[in-house]
Amino acid sequence: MNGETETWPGAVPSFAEDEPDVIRIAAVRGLGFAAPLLAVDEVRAARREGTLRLRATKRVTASDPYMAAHFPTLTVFPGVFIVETVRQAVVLALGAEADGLEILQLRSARFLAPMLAGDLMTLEAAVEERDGGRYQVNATCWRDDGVTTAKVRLEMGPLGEPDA
Amino acid sequence: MLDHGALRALLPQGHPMMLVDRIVHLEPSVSVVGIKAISGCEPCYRDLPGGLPPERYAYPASLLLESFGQTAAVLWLSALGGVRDDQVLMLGAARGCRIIGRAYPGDVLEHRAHVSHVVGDNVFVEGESRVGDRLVAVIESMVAVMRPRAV
Repeated sequence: MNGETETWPGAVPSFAEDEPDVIRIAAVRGLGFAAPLLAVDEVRAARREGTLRLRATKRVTASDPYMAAHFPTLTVFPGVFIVETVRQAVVLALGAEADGLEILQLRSARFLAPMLAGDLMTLEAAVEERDGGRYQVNATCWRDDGVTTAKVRLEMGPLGEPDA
Repeated sequence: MLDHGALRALLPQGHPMMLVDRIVHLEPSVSVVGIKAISGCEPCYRDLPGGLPPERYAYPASLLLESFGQTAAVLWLSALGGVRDDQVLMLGAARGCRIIGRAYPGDVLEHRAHVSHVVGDNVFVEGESRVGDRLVAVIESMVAVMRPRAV
């Protein structure tokens, strides 16, 4: 990670200077909820004036669950797994605050370029708290060659559905 | 109507990423209804311990959207004439995908998707996902794109 922060387009300087603690989790088991794969390798997070900013990385790995099947002859990180990366990064960054947080809405997503096995995805997101324990998440991600691969806006919060 | 074998031949995803089990209605380039049975055998449940609160076992929204998208892909593939060997079919964009409820192992998802409009090669679909009478997701818009395999 060291030394890479300046090369990421859109990196927030004040964020990079602080070098907040890296949050790592070793296994899907540690997430404590159903997930297709461990969609983050590590997350850094810092609060700025009520907005939580985070930066997560994920190396696209052909041996991860599901990846050998997407696709059998060419490994492409599925767009929905970027949504999963956003979810996991937010949950890990918020820690205890994230208890009961689920995806309520994928407001918008644009998947601009594929990420193949071996590519390193870097994702930056701003997480703003709203009424009712809801969070608006704006995320952008890049490949390690600098190409922007996706822009995602999510709403997360308590789903509030009475369980049948 | 496409049985499992026909679906496997049509969709580029392999096992266990193929997240539609059967197509029960298909009007090519117009509308499709796909069925997906959720099982605790799926990889997304493999590493989860027992005894957590019930909602922790909800089918991940990412896979729910992928399952809807693959159902919609049957429309895309019928509209675009299949995927050439030098192309890859990707989710291009999505908007207003609301998760209304949870689906669990043992639930059977029914995805209903129809083409809302076509702009050039871009086929926009909208629809919803249900478990029985219960609405679990509403999809305002999704579009797939063909990209060259060489990046």
